[in-house]
Amino acid sequence: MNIIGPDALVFGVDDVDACSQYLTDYGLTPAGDGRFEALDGTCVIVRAADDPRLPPAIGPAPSIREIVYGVGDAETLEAIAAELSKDREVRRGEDGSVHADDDSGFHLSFALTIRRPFTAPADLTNAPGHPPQRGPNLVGIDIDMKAEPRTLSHVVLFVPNMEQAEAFYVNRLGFRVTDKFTGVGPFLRPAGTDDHHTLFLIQTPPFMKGVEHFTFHMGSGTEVLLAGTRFEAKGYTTFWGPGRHFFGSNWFWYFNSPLGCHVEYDADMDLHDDSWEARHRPAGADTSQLFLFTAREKWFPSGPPPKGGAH
Amino acid sequence: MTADTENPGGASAPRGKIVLCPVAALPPAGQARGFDPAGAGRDTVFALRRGDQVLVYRNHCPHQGVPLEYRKDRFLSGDGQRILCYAHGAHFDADTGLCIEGPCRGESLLALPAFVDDGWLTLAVPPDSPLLR
Repeated sequence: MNIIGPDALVFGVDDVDACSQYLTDYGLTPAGDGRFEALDGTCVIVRAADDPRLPPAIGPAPSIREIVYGVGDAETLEAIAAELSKDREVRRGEDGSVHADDDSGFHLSFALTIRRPFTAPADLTNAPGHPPQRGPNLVGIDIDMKAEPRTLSHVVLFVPNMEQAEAFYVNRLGFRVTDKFTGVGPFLRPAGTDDHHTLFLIQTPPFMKGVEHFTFHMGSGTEVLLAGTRFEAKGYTTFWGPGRHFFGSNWFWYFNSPLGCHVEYDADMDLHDDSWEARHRPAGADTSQLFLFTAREKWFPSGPPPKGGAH
Repeated sequence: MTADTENPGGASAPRGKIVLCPVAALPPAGQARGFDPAGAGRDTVFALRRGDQVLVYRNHCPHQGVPLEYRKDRFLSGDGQRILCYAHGAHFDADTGLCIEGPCRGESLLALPAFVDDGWLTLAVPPDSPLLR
């Protein structure tokens, strides 16, 4: 099944204005009707919790209401509909989209992907011992350089039965486990992408069921640090980061949010194919990150410039 | 180890107090304000009006010990009636600090002793208390 990954996450919230401001400050582009887009059109959609267009809520607002998966072809939509119809209610949209619940009760929909082709610069590195990526007179840093969310990377779910939830995505939708935190949950990659994970499941008590976080890919670790620094300067609260994960190798920086979950910046994730064998490790501080930093306010070693100005 | 870390009940000890702000400078009911009275580099307590009262809580979720707000001074639900932890979605009764939804249901935020002294909101907590770090 050619499932690419999440194209849209739909939230029902109690403070639409706060969420709109948050997602705009995070770097997404408002596209109208509660839709906030990355460079490739993948998006977060926020609606008032009582909006009749929303599927039923799992928990108190704010909370996730629907996860929209993008697929690569119409055959995949038919295959998903046929597979899921075996044991659950499947609803079809006028556009051919497929709507059903996963085994944990999250509302899913599947539709032809909305991802638009786009190009954006890479963060080129000059490393001794390796041919330079940035030649003479090409500067790496510009004070006004862009750090924009490029594409929706992954969503992380708190689930009451991690093994059952994993089996649904693996056996019914063709996801593969790339790595797994023993007793906690798997990192999952659908067949239509080579990203290390577009879904991570975490075992929790049933009353915590919901989204733990979602993230968009930034262009590089530098962009994660730059976007996070700018976001923090606007007063937003860091939850975890910045740092770099082991599983997936992605840079991370997590923030609290008014959407009812954390929101992350990530970048530079590993790619895998079907020859990869999943690593199994216990979850913990040493297995979840290579390093972790705490951001601090900018300062300058020599203090402020001398009074009267420099000459 | 300082004496303070061995005395986490220092919040109730009458060994010091901290003036936070004029009560008139607090936002209206339905909003909150964070304070960093010990220079921790982040807001370690927050205050809100409830009826005629001003309540002050430690900014420390009983679930994982993390800050609650998603942005400076944003501690409350959209309608201003509940305290929310914007880390993992715990909902707290604003009057009691009791968690009523979320991962730490049944646990409570720590309410800090506070009083109004000649128009100034004052925290009855010594400045060197570990609660303020």
